[in-house]
Amino acid sequence: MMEELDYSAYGSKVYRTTLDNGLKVNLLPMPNYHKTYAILTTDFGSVDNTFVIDGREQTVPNGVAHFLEHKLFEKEDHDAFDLFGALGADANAFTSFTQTSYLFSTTAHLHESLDVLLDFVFAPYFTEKTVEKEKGIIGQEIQMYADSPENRLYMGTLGNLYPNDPIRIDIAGSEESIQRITPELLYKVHQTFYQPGNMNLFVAGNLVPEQIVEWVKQNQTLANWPVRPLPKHTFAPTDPKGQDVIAFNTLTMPVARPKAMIGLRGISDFEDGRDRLKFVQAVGLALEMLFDDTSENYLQMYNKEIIDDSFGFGLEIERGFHFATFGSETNRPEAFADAIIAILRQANEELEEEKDQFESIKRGQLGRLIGCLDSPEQIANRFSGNLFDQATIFDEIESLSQITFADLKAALTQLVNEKRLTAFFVLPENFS
Amino acid sequence: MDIQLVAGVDLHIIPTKQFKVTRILVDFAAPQAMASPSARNLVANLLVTSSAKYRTQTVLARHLTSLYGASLSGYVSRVGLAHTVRVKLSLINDQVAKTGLFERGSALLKELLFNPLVDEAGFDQETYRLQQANTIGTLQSWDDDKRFYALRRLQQAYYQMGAELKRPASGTIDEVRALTRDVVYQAYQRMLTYDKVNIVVVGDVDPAAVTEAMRALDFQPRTNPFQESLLYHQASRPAPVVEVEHQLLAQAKLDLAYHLPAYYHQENHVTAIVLNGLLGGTPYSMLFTNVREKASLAYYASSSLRPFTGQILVETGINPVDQERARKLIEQQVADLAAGKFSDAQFQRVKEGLVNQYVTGLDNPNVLAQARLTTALMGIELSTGVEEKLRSVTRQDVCQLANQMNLEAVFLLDARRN
Repeated sequence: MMEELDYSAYGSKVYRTTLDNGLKVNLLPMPNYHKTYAILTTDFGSVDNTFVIDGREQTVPNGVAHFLEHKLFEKEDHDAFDLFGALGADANAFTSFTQTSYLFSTTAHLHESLDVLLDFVFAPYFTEKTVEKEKGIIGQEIQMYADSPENRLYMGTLGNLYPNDPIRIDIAGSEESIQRITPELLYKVHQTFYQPGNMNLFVAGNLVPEQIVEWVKQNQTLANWPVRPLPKHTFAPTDPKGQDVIAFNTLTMPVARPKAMIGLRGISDFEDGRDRLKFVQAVGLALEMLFDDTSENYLQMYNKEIIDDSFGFGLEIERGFHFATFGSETNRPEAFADAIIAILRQANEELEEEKDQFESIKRGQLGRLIGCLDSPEQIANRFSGNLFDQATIFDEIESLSQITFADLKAALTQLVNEKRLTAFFVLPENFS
Repeated sequence: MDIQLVAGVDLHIIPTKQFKVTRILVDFAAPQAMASPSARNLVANLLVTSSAKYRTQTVLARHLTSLYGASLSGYVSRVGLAHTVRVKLSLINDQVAKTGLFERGSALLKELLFNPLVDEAGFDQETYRLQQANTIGTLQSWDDDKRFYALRRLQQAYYQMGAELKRPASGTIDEVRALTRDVVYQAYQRMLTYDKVNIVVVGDVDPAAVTEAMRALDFQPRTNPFQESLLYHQASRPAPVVEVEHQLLAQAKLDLAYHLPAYYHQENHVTAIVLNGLLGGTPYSMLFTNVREKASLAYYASSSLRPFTGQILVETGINPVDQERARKLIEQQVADLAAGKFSDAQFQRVKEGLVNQYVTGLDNPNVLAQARLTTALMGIELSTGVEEKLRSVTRQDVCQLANQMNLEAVFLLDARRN
């Protein structure tokens, strides 16, 4: 049965179904669009290096999820990339902390492209030789990240926030950890996490829903699915109270200007996905009121040259953890840290002072969310499956419009705690 | 839909029901030789920071937020020999917002462009001081992006002594530092008075209402400052200029600049697009498959076409010890391209990929606006039948053009570990 979610205010409908093999499918037709964008996601990312399968706990080296993502395209006698290419489709993949996604966009041959996507993601092929070769490529990638001051700043901050957890490790792993990856290991991980029941497919753009479902069903019927237990994700921060946060650290490397980041680790639990979504949106609005360029705080920091246009902030939330970051290039990293922490310390009072901006800020956020409706990619990529209980972008808009000023204060009270704050600086040599 | 508002100021409207956001792009273009990129970079910055009515960026940001999170940006760019200052405003369309946002957006544009925060001596002193410092900071930080840095150094090595394009489009730190608020104000006034202006509006709009609103901006007539083509040419070099710089990095960057006699909108332009797609412009390219994938020699290996300067630029990120092998292998790809050593399957994939890219672009309002702007600056019509033209490029066309590629400059950002 296909469920039909009617979002008439935006002239849109989302079609949803779960196949017999467990694969969740969401479809959003977008009239007038030439292209179709499809993204297939598994609930498995870089932090999932321990998990339970068949009642046994398994540990895998850092960087496996990302390595698997790279290697999945290559098959015995062809590369899935080339198949997409022959169809004129544009394909890609990416790995995050808790998910791995495979995607394509196309303006023709949708059926064939969809088959290529489903076929290559579900049918692995790894050999000693290809795995060894990939270590060179990924080693280069890791080196490139090591040269990026932005990445070092971000990873340094995460290292302070989660000193005992895999979140602090680069998604690609380390040059050392990837050496321990073998074909057997990749097969094992694939078998565990790349089961339809652990995955979802989102397709948006030029499409006919009934047709897509039919095609996906056909493809999945042809595949012979052995019944296997679904894996149990065991990743959770080592210290659930976040008392292991390291307050401060610096890194010296050749940069033109110092870069500073403040991190704030949250430890909230949520009743369900929609509750989590509401929290994210409330924190998003609250941080905007306190820190974005409409705020007095921003202007003061800007005029004191503590921040510049590179200043940015945000909350990131994934399965099992969430944290906020505030970063800027600045010639005065300590003043930056002091200013941000001072605002967070009295967040609720500060919010109260900016209260008259609430409606306007909310309208602005709504407008930006509505703006995402122009992009099939953004609509599909925003979809976070279980994390927000299958909320689509339209549900996000609806949820956002219900948020009150009181929600902001409640969310900030939950999030902010001085003991879970950290500062990290990337400094040029001879900085004083 | 193209309308001349006054002499030298043109409006281009692309009405479409497809998008919920309407984009207004105002482009000021001056001949490179007559413009200071540094001063204009600051102008672009100042125009979107504040105005006489919205005196701080906070007040301006609040106003934008109240317009359903309208987004505003100002930046400089380059189209061949034209230096451009661009101001872009994006708004939810009136149908979705259920209010007259477009009208309020147009009023805001008018305020920002024509009523900046100034006193008798130029741009407001404090605002100027901050934006000058910020621009310097931004330019400094660019040097931390090593891929971008290497590419800019390659371009500087490529251009001949005295060429206008040797000056970076966004200016230089030293120049920005030496500027004063009155000089920048004069650059602003010259821009407003003499630049060729093109306004592009893409969205679900009523063309008559848009025309009226844009007429109300009240631009004065001007003569077209572009008397000659925007395309840049320079004499070929017998041997490439080679420059090397050492920095403490994990990864080295090796970039190569080739001259390619195929320019925007010329007959062989579409062939050049396919050539570039095959060399390094698509994931199915020779650089990607042979240098990155097969030889496992680079994390990235790609090429890009510069149709206004007649160039193809190759960029790679490599292990420092591999630099000689990498250069050989890159040059081998160019030789193979000229010799037709690529498979039919690969050739078809690249072409189909480019067709897909083109059609996909039709769904992207920014791509639509850019394309209209470029053709307007060049004084030509938008190309039609692009898919057909791409598909009809032959292997022979590509080989012939590849034979005319000439390596002109090499830049190596060498990485040495201590």
